[in-house]
Amino acid sequence: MSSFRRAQQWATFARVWHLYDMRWQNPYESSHLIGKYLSGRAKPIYHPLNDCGDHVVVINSKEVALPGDDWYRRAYFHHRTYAGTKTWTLAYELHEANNTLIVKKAVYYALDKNLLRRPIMERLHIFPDANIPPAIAANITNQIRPLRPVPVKLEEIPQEVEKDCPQLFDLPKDFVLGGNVWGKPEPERKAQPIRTPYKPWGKEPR
Amino acid sequence: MFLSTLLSFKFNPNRLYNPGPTKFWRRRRVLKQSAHFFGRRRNCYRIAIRTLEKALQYAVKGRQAKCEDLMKLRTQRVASGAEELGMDLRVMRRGLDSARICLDYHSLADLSAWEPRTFKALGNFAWNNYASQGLGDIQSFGNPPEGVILRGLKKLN
Amino acid sequence: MNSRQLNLNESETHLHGKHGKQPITFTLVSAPSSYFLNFWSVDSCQKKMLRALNLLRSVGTPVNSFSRTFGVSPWRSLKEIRERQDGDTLIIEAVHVKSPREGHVVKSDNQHGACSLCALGLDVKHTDILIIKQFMDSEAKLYPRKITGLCRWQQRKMRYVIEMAIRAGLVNPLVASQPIPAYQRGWRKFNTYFDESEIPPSKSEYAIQKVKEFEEAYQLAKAEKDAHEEMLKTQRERRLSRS
Repeated sequence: MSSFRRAQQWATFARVWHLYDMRWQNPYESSHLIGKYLSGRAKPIYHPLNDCGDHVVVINSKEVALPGDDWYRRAYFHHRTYAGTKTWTLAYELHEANNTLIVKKAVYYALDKNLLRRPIMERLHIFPDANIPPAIAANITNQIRPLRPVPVKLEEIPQEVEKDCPQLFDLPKDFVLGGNVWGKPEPERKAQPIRTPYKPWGKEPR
Repeated sequence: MFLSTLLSFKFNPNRLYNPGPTKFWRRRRVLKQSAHFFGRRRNCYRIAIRTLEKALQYAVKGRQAKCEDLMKLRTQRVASGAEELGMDLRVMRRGLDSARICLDYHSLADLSAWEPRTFKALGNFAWNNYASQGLGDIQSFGNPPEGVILRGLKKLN
Repeated sequence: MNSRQLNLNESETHLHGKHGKQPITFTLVSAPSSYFLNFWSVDSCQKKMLRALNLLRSVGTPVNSFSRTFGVSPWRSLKEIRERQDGDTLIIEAVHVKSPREGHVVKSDNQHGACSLCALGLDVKHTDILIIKQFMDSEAKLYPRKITGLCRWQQRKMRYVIEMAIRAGLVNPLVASQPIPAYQRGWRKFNTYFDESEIPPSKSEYAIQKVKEFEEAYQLAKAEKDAHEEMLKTQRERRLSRS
């Protein structure tokens, strides 16, 4: 084989290491994308028995975002196979205990349900923040574009941009800046429920 | 003497029609097909015939399943090739169809895996064609690559 | 109540335009079709309104695409209550201040008298905090409708959107003296995003009537657009058959 052909062979069949930033992403939407790269479906040489899957390094898994009231509605079931050891753990409890598990479970359940799933999961590396061990970081050659746009917090926007932003209306004449607009003593602010079409598994904890 | 017995065996005047294969030959026909089965299923006729009937039914279903599996694999390969180029499978498919480029998934899959530059040329053409005819929502993929000439193409409608 | 005695440096600096001390007013090129179309953001009109949208949503894009007309309009005077210590006495006075929004207010060619959001056809998401911030006070509460100038529909939507933005942690109430509010403790410190399509629709008669009106206008505009596209198609076919 000539050196050109050898290089071509390596380039076609090499195992690639991808990076995915989980910051403000939905783990369940992203898991399908990550599963695609893990199983090798992103390659035209794909075959289920070809073992052409890639490695994916997920960072910032502690900053994962769930929609609406999922943090206290979504429950994870676990049974230790002993009588009476069924547990339903809510998403925020699980995240407090181990901040990589939500992502891991999401990807596990997004993959094909066959015997290849376990070795494919070995190729998924999840880190809660952006600190990656140097041995793994040296292998990464590609970044997967995240699905959701990362929102910007108001405090992160620079002052000049905030001031130059076009305003939709001007405040009325003789409006008192910083004053009480409602004319009554301010009642204690209560978070109103945003009704989502969701099944109540857990109640909103106080 | 040998010849006379042979003749008598072959030419029996009591029989007016060809009775077809005898028991031996009928069973041999089955056992030949079950030669690769396990255990008594390959040697004993009664068991072999049952297993063989089932095997032939599976073969009928399997022919269909093979087509489906291969189709699924090929579309997956074409889709991943198209996504490497920055677009979608449906964009590629419609872009080629509307220009009457009759390449099926078999050919496209082989090209995407083993002839990447040809596939890229086809993909770029399909993308440009799709975008120029306004067939659907192309904005999410951005602008198609330049350097493609679409000349005198009629829409397949 | 003489404003000149007080220090107005802070309010003056951000009112200067890029070309000197004159106030700048922005004028939008209005779309030919009705504002109902913009509200539903049909593709062709969405492109026309993209300029406004990009500007309001973006962080740090230049404003050069807008046409500028230099006008000398009297600035809106607002009141600000200031306290100062003068020896023994504590003087609390209301001072006339230039509106901080002076020179940045968008002027749209609003024939129908629609509210600002409907006229521009903006579909406000909970992540558009630069837009949302304009409708809230320093304690992250929505202004009443008389001040915001929104229609009932948009005001209600803005109420939900503000709540979403707060729960997502994008807008914190700016009152520093308060303790960590209840919606930032425990599980609420994790990231949450929202889907605006899940805002429950209002069941009032007014809302139902409005929905009907919008639907009819949308169907009319869609028919217009389809007729226009068909005309373009026939033109294109004629051109191709000739060539």
